[in-house]
Order: sequence, then structure tokens, then C-alpha cells
Amino acid sequence: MTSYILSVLLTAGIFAILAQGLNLHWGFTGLINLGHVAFFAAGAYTMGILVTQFEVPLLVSFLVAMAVATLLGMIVALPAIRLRTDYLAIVTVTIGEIFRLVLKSGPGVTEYTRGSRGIRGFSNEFFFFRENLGLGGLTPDQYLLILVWIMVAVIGVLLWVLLKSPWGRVLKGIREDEDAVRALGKNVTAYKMQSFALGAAIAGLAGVFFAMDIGSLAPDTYLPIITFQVWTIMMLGGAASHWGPVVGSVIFWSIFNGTLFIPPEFLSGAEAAYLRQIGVGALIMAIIIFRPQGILGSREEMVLNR
Amino acid sequence: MRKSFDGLVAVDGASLEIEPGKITALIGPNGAGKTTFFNVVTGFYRADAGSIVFDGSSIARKSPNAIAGRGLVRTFQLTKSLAKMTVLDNMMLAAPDQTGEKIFTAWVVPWVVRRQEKENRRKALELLELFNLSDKKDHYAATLSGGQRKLLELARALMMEPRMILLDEPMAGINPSLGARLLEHVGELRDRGMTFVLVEHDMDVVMRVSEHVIVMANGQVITRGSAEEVRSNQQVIDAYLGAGGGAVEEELDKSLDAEGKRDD
Repeated sequence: MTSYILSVLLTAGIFAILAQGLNLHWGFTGLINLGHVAFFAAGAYTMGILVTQFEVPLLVSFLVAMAVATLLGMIVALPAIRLRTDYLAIVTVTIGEIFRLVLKSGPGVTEYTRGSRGIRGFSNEFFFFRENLGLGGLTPDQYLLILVWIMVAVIGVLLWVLLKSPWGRVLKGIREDEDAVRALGKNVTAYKMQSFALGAAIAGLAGVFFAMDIGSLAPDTYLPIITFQVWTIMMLGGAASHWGPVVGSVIFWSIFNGTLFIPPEFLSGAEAAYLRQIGVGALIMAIIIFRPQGILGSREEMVLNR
Repeated sequence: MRKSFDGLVAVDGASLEIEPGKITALIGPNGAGKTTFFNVVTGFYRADAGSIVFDGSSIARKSPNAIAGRGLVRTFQLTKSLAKMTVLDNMMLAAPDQTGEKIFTAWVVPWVVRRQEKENRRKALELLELFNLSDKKDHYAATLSGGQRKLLELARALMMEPRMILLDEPMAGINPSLGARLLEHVGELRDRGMTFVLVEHDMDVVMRVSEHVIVMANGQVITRGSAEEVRSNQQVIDAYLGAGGGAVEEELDKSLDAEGKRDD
């Protein structure tokens, strides 16, 4: 039971960070981003490549990972920023897949990413480092868990401060009606770009922790399903609510991993794996039917039409 | 100015000047190109040809936000209140040059941001008071009536301390008493030196408030003058009523058909 709770909380923490980034894009700026997994992968791979092939110090690799994810966010934003709604969704979902395929088989790229063979051996230094922090008594998982949840809190507070500021007010304005905000003298393109870049950086950091958790990097880990899981988490917790993604993530992973408790006499492991997909589908339907604003979302905001 | 959408010429060489410190009405039948003209002037569309000069410098090809930043502010035919934001937030958003609007200074210099917020809040509340919206300040903008939203849009535009305001059909779809109040405000602001241009269908409204009337039809300016002069002008009557015979009527029908496309 303890190991179940630990593993749920670890995955939930990583996905909470990821969902906080997406919530900035969709919940607060109204940008439909269906390629979130690309930023996640960019962070993970940057760190992995830097540590294993360039012997870059750990902390530097973390920062560069976030910088690369930011850069990718800005590159994606360039064509995407002028598009609205459905068109933006199409472009981003495509970019997510393109990025995965380039990691897998891009000429020149596979020298570094090792294609589908993947990368290993980047996490040792990270886990040894806990002894320098005087946390030698913790297991690797406990140590990672604590770091992840500290980052969940730090990012939560950072976003809280930013979104309460006039900067956040402009983003919400863009979500409501970008032309109105343009007419009020704000450079909407620059704000969308910033929102994209910051959300991507956050996803990049989640990617680094995710890589540490599973200990290896393989392109096919970063399938579009991850993006959709993050969307489910955000909708479940409540888009545009500050702590919704965190609550959503914990509930989502409790249910998703809950199939472990099904005794093998009833269902084999493979069958249980299907059951969790059914569970997720049922969960999405339940949110939409019974609580479309999500757990922490505002009912009032949900029912308002312009 | 010239502006066409594929084959459809919406503004066909219209040329006009707006006198500062006055209320100018831009009228004309549906499809005359009034709204398109507004959209080009405020940077939402790009003109095919022509020049736009505001306060001595060219604003053609500038972005909508740059134009608004120079003090030329507009409202929209279909009111754009920011629905899921409170009335007060709608107002505060519009304040120009906020330090807290920049992603870095927003949290690096909180004391500057706080001071500006206080000042902008005071200004916003003053304007809301003036427009009788004070008691709605914490309500979502979506809960306001159509007329109140028009008032909010004007009040919000004033937060930017503009020198000229373009009102796109300010009276459309609002009840007459709120409409009268809106016009009262416009008159008072004009007395304080602000310049207004309003696009309007309703001839009565136009005649009541504007010092200067410009009439457009088929993308061109057909006449201009005081309300009285325009009212008795045969060309205007023809444009509105199609009394000039089959040719004008046909033209008018065509532009009516095009209207749907144009106002999207």
C-alpha cells in the first residue's frame, strides 16, 4: 500500500507540474495546446543528452533543459500564435508528433538521442547528490518525491503571483477576446508568446523529473496520450483554477494506478491495463456530465456566455 | 483609402478628415463600408491603398495596439466586454503603461506595481461612478445588460486617456434611456476636448448629437456637412431610399447582400 501511495504521488507530482504549464496556456490564456508532450520530451532529452554525452553538471543541465523547452515553446508559438482555436490545435498536435519522430529517427539527431535504443545512465549523479544534501537516509524514490513536490509548490506560487498581477489580467483578457485586448493597446502576440514559453519551460522541468523517475529515455514514451492525460487532469481539477491541476493529478493517478489492487484471479495485468483506459474514459465523461467546471473550477465562470 | 475582400470592394477611395474636439458621425446605408473603414483606421485590417494620418503622423500599417497606444481608441459594433472578468478588471486592464504588465517587472518591483494598481483602481472607480456602474464593479461583465456593456466599453476606452474615440454603432441594441445616457457622456467628453467619430444607422441619433456628418455609400464619401445640410441633400435621400431610380436601387441591393460578409 505504501509503495502504491508513493508511486501515485510521484507520478502525480510530475504530472501536476506538467498540468500547471498547460493550465497557463489553456486555462488562463485560452491557447489550445495539444502538443504539450513535446515540451515534456524536450526537457527530458536535453538533460539526458547533456549529462551522458557532454558531462554537464546536473544543475546546469536542469536549467538548459528548461531553456531548450522554452525555446521550443517560442518556435512553436511563431506560426501558432497567429492561429486561433481549431487551427492552433491542429498545429500543436502535429508538432508533438513531429518532435517525437525526430527524436526517434531524425538524421543527425539520432547520434545524440540514439533513436529508439534510447538513453540510460543519466540519473546516477542525481540520486547520489542527495547525500550532499544530507538526505542519505531517504530512498531514491522518497528523495525524488520530495523534490518534485517542492517544485509543484514553487511553480504554483510563482504562477499565483504572476496571474494575480496585471500581467495575468492581460492573459485572461486575451482568453476572453483577443481583439478587444488589442484595441486596448496591448501587444497580444507578445503575451501569447510569453505564455507559451513559460508553460513550455514548466513542462520541460516536469520532463527532467519524469526522466529521473523512469531512469531511461525512449522516444515512444512521449506519445500524444501524455498530452491527453494532462488535459484530463486539468479538466478534472478545473481549468483556470490555481490548484486544480494538482488536485486533478492526484485523483487521476490514484484511479489510473488503482487497477493494481485488482486480484489476478479476476483480471490479468494486461486486462487490468485496458480497464484503466476504460476508467479514464468514464472519468472524462463523469466530469463533463456532473461537474464540467472541474473539482476546483468556478461554476459561475462556466455558465457565463459572452 | 481602398480596401477589398477578394472581389468585393468595401471601401472604394473614401477620403475624409475628422475635426478635433467635435463629434463627427459617419452614416450611410448597410454595406457602405463604414465598419470596414473603422477596421482599417484602427489597424484591424490592412488597407490596399491610401494613407491614414492621426495627429500629424502616419498610422497606416501600424498594429491595432500601437494605434490604440497613440490615443486613437475604438469600440466594437458587437460589444466586446471581457465576459469572465469582473467589471473592475475590465477597467483596470485598459490602463496604459502598467509596470505590472511585463512578465519580469510584474514580480520584481511589487511596490511599484502596487502603487500603480492603487492609482488605476481609483481612476477606474471614478469612471464607473460616472457611468453608474459602481455597484456592478465586482460582477462578471457577462452579467451586465447589453446597454450596460456599451457603457462599460466606453468607460473602459476612457481608462486609456484617449484623444479620439471611434464608436461603432454605440446605440445598436440598447434601450433608449441607456442610449440617451451614453450620448450625454459623449457630449460632456466632447466639451472637455475629446474627439469622437460614430458610425450610426439611426439618423435621429446622428442629427441630435453630431456637429458634423459624413455620408458614405458604396465605399465612397458622397457628401459631408452639418446635420441639417445632410438631411436635405438629395444624394443622401437617394442613397438611403433608393429614390434615384433603378440603378441606385440595384446598387443598394448589392451592398445589402454584401453586408453579411462584411460585418463578420
